[in-house]
Amino acid sequence: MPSLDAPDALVVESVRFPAGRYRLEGELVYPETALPLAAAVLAGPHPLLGGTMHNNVVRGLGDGLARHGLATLRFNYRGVGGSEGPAPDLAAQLAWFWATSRAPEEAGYQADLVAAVAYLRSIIGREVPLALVGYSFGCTLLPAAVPAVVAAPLVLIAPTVGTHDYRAFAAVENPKLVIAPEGDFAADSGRLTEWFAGLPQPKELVRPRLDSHFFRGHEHWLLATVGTFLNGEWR
Amino acid sequence: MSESGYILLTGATGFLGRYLLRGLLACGQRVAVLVRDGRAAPAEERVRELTSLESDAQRDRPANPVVLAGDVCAPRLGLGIIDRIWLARHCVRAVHAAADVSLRRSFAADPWQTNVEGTQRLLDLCPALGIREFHHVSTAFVCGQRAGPVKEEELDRGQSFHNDYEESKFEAERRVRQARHLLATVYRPSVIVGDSHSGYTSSYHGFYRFLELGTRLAVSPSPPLPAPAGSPAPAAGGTGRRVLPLCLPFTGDEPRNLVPVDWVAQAIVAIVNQPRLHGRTYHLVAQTPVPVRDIKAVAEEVLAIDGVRWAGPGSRQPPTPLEELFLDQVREYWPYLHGDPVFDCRNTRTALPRLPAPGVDRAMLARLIRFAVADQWGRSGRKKSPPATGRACASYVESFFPESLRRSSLGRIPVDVTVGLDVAGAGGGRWSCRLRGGEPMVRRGLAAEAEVVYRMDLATFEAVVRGRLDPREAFLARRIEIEGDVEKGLKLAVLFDHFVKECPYAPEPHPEENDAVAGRA
Repeated sequence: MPSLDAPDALVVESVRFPAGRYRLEGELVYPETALPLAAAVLAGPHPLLGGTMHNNVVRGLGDGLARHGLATLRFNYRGVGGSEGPAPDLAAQLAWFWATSRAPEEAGYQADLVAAVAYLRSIIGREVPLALVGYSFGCTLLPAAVPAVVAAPLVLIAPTVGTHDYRAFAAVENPKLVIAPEGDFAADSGRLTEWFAGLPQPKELVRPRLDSHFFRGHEHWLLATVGTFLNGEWR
Repeated sequence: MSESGYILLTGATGFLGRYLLRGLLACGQRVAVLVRDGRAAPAEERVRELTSLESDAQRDRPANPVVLAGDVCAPRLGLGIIDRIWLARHCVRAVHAAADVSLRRSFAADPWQTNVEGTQRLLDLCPALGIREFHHVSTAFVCGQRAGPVKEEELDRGQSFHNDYEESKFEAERRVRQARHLLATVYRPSVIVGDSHSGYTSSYHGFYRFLELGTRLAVSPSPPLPAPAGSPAPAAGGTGRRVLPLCLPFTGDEPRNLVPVDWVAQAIVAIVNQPRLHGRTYHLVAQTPVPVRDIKAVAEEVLAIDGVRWAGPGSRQPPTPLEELFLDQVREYWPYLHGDPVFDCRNTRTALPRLPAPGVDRAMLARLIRFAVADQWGRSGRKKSPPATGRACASYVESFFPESLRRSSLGRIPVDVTVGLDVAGAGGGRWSCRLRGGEPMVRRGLAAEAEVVYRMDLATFEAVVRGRLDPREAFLARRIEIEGDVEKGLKLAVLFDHFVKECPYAPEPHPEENDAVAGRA
């Protein structure tokens, strides 16, 4: 699907790539006239809570970073939008989701992110530096892709600490920027502070007071914050 | 999964547009219409009126169109990001019928604004929307002051124009043809008149203006002198016939190229449906134009007016005050007094060998005029449907939702929550709903115990319950605000989105709307 807000100088390419036995849809965004200097894969929020590649944060960062010379890949998890996936037992799945805020396919989403990283690597090559960006539930998936992106900077936006399992980050030594909004309904503030304290360096925590979890209308602030962090890492 | 194949139709509330809408829907096309929110009714309601007002006997109602509230003259068509994303996912074709038929430039800069700027805005947005196929409704009169024969492939022959309308449509067509990223098909109807079967029209220009003016200016003849005893009754005066003593600058042979609206729409739909015919220009014109004398003869009969005579174009008689008044009132049509050009229509004849333009004969002329008279030339105060949205909003919340919920998947999910709904604007309202074990209890007003309150405007509510707008996307676009337990609110939005897909809402038109239709047929 073509981009709607990108200027002419931005190319938005609809792509499909394999993830196990499924083919996922994604959007590869890059500057039209220059080779990308770096790249980023974006992992979106929970599919059952608005988690598509068209989410405002995912799209805003994907297009925004591309305007600054990166190639970015956003994608839909299995079973979402045009991505192939298992046919769900809808009623059972919804009931479980209502009770737990979880979906049975969550383990598969890790494989989707790993596949997305491999796909982007296959396009840009191994020399171009790569970052991983997770938003909301997407943050929990990042450790699964770390072995493929050793030393790559990680950006965690509104991590759902307290709702999902973040213990794997204790072993992640990549540079990390954590943007955890104050008053985020999806995170337990006390546990988040404790979790961050236990993370290995290098790490940075930003706690904005912005629209709880959603960054609606603050996409530019988010882009500037992430852009500054990545610039520092890749200087 | 992504779903494509919709046609984006502009101008659907216009005279031709409503026929195009019905024609496209009737042949199974899925249509999204771009419609302005009116002063009296929102876009969705305006379209609902259209799809139920057709004047002929065909009453089967095809699928409803998707209604996008917007405006071709506004930046990005006045569409929000969500509607544009929807279009990009679903539409690959556009039928551009929006136009302004003012002959002279108005204070609001029409016809240029709608015809040129509106077309340009749509053209500009097409690449971003992924629209590659563009069907453009132009006019045969882009030929301007050329006498003809005018060929379909020709556009810019250095011609001059009679008025802003012609020139603005010329410029719009030129821009469409220059849009390299599009496969453009151009339709050039001549003078569109009412429905060939019913006479229905909603547009009283040209042909109608002359006849309406004649009707207004005609007078009852002076009472006849008392007849001598035993003589037969007088033929006029007591018969209701009136007199219009006009000597007009016609010979009676001037050709008028009239085409009925239903045929024009039928022809366009037929070509839209056949990709092999795309990429060309089609003159949708009468093969045999109507001489002015035929129109006069039928008008005299139907309107019961006598006294109009032909003086020929070179008459040297000074006009009477009545003639001056008449000609002054139709001044903008003076350039057309000598008849319409000859239009070559080879492409159309080849493309549609079984759909020739119907001849506008005397019987059809009589139907057109009778309808106009019955409609008081568009001033009959057609019964407008009362705003149905408020009715639909309450009906949805209080009836449709609870009844459908019991038989839906959502009804089987062990949810126990009280939800508030605040729909702002005329036709909106406030409700509370306790969801517990598939048994919803709805009452009016916002309950203090509501754990989650959704606030939105009427357009958003309608878009959500009709499945056009995912409530999660609406929330992220700030069209819905969630107060209270946000997580619960988002999870409920997920459940509700599944409910909408399972139980689509497509209310039948209100009976009053059908009454309005019948009155016009």
